Amino acid sequence: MSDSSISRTLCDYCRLPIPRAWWSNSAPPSSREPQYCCLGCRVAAQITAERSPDQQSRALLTRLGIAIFLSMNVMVFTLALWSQDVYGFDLGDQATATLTDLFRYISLLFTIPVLFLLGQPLVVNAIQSTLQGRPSTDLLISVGILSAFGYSAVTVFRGEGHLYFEVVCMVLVLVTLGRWIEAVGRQKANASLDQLEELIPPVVQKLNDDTLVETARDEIQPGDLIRVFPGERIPLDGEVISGQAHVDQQILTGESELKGVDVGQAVYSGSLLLDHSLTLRVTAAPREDTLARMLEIVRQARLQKGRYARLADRVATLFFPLVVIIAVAATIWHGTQTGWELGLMSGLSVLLVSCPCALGLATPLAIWNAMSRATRAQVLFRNGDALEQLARIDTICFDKTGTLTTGETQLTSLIPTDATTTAELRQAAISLAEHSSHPLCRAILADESAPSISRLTLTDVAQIPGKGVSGRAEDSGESLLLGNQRWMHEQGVMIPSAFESQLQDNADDGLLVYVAQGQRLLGAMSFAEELRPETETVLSELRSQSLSLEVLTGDRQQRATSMANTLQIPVQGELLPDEKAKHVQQRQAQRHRVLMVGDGVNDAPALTAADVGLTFGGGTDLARDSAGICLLGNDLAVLPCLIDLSRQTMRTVRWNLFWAFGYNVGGIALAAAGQLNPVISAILMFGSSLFVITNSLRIPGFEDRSDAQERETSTRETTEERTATPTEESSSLETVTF
Amino acid sequence: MEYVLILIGGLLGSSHCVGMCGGFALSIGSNSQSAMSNTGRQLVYSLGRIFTYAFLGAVAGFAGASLKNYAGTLINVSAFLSIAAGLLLVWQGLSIIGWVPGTETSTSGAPCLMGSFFRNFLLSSRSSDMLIAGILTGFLPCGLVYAFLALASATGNFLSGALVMTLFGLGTVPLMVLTGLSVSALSIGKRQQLFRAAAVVVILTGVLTVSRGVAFAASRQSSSPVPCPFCHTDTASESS
Repeated sequence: MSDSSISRTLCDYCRLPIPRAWWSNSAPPSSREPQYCCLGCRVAAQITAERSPDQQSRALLTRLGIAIFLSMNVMVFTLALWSQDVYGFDLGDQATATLTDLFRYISLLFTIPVLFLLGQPLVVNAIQSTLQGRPSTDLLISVGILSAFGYSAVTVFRGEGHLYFEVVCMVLVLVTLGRWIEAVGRQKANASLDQLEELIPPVVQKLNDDTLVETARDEIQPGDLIRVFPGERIPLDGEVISGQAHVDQQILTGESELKGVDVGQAVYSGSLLLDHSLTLRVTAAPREDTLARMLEIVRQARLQKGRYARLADRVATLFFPLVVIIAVAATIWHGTQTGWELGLMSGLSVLLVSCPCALGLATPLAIWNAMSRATRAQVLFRNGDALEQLARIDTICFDKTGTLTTGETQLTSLIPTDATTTAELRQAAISLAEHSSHPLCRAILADESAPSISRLTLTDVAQIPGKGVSGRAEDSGESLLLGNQRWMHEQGVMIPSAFESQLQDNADDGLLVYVAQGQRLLGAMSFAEELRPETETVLSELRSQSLSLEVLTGDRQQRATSMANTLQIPVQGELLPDEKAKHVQQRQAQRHRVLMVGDGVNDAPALTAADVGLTFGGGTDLARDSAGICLLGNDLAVLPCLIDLSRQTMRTVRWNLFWAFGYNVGGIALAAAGQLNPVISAILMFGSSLFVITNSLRIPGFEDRSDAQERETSTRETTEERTATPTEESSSLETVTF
Repeated sequence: MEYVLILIGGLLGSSHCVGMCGGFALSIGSNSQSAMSNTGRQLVYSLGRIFTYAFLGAVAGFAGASLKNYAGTLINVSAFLSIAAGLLLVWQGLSIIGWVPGTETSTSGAPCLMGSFFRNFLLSSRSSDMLIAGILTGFLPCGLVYAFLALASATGNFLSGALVMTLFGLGTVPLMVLTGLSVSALSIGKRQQLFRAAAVVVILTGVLTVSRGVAFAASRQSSSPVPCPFCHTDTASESS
């Protein structure tokens, strides 16, 4: 998809691009007036506007209500007239004729307001969109309705012939309701994204020479100073100039850990400031900050179409002219063969029964809905294609470090030589480790099983990159070494072969670090990578989803094998990044569809090579990722749910498309044959839209996790209606936190 | 006799409605100042509902009539519709008592889309909006309404269809209004008894309808005058 598609004008209600003129390539003219993509969005937007706290004019809703009431009356009188045709009234000729006439006039009388109430918006919308180069069937429906009304009105005054008032009324009501429901469905599918967006305050406190000025967020420039108060969301990326506080970055990283920030540190937009106020120097312009970039990715993802969406799109573009041709043809055929009344009715039926909604919305609605749900679970899809591909994978390749493991190392055992004790070994190691920030040293210090131990005072501490740490003990004056085997050899430390074999038994796969005092070896320490707590469950769940799993790692084959044994999963060791990509391509050559799960930097080639790539990561490094899916939450446990969600979504999409094709072909054929009353057609169209929309919005997945939350959201909606303004922060949080 | 049963069916059956639609009645009441104005709002709301029921009844009656007109020569439409309607009523009656499994979970999904539309009217302060809210409530999916609609279609006449549904609607007024006024005159135990009574009436209506359908079917075959199901033995003894 080209970038230009993103810069299109968006509908002001459903936030989707307004289609271009179908005969030209220019985007619709942008004006200050709100623009809507269809009648439904226009109606829905007005209704939402009316629901604003002050609840001023409720014109549109009341209009719709009155129109429904009048239409029902017209329908009843029409039924009365029809009943008389069917079995006659027993009132005598004169009385029956008078009654019939009365009913005809009443029908006319009731239809006129309906025509104004609902016909006017329909006609206006149809004309507007036609002028903007997007003619829709609305235009032809308007023409059909007006002709039906004109014909019936003439009939009333002539006193003979058929009336079509009920067609006029019911079609207007059902078309309005149908379009409106479509719009609500579209908007619902996108709703959770907007909830994220609403988190950012539109107005920020800018610091101008020690005075605070309320400034629109969009007007802030990088370099400006702003102040953020506790309880607020940080509006823009910035560097702390003064103040100390805790922030919750869950929205960006998925981890609800509190992070302390201090002068000089960076904070990211969207994080929640908890306890003290901070003064920040803004480092990124509005719309280029972290949260905005994250939202932009999701928004672009919505606009980029997958395979099914493109298919539906192509059909939908053909659909409009095709329906118009069929409708006109049916009108002319029945008009010349039987009579123009039937011609008009069957033409109208064709237009009404055809449900471009089912075709055009079946796919995107389901996919947006799935993406919105995923976003709520801290999973970002780069585009719809990624979701479609994820549903089709049969093989998953995992990276090891940082993916199946936490990336942290753990001290697993201390192995002293025969001449030393564990305590002695530990004391030396801890004393040295204290002076280094190397991950292994941190692991030594973090070892929870260690008893508290007095440390040796060291002098001349040196950290030698790639080798180890050395120092001199003050009391004994002897040098202490903590480092790898090669370094020990270089320093002339002897490692007895008996000890080597003892190590083989004890530490089968781990990293080894040696500790020496002077030339004498004290012992060794072995480390292992810590598996993520959820790894094993996730792997077994994935296996039960009939996926074949393997691990690709750059680590030594020996360690790979030991991991294979623990996890019961094939592991390929000693692979360079390029070789991982090659391995993925090999699998693809064997007609497998591969999901690569890895970190964004080292595994980039493999992620790109795979059908879909999935990485972990905070919002900060989203933009450079080469993967289609990003787990912001750093939680591997969502993967099985995610695969379920994508499979369910694609199942719904296929079923929707199947329904849409079948329904439209069958319905249009019947209508063109003159076998469908326009009222029935309108009811069918309404039902079909409703079916497709509810079907798409009801995709299960993330059910176990988001079920309660869903309920919470719906109750929130109800209470929102009652209490005019709910406390925004708390309610929005509910939907974002997990 | 049957119309009385329908009225009572509505009256008692609405103990079931209160569970479903009582919330609406309550939200209507929540926005009014005095009990007097609240009663007015409740009545207007109920009027709206009855209007929709009558409308649906007329449509159903007409549909039954046209069916008879089109297919009357092929099958005995009156008998078929009566039996179907009667069985539906019995089924609803049983599900009110709770003897039909899996009827607890319904009414979700589609109505939710309409929900936001709805609430605007329910919480409005104008009585015209109350009427519209009532009219829309009438369209909400409800098993009991469908069962009585089937009965309306079985009458095979659009006026009688409307009458059946109007009576049903009138029957539902008292309890709905009381609920709207938050009168909790009914203890849970009372409510249970009412449920059971409602079920019995609905089932009775159903049985009556079925037997009439069977009678229709029999009359078609034997082309004898329509025997009343209750005095069937009498007519039989008379004719013999």
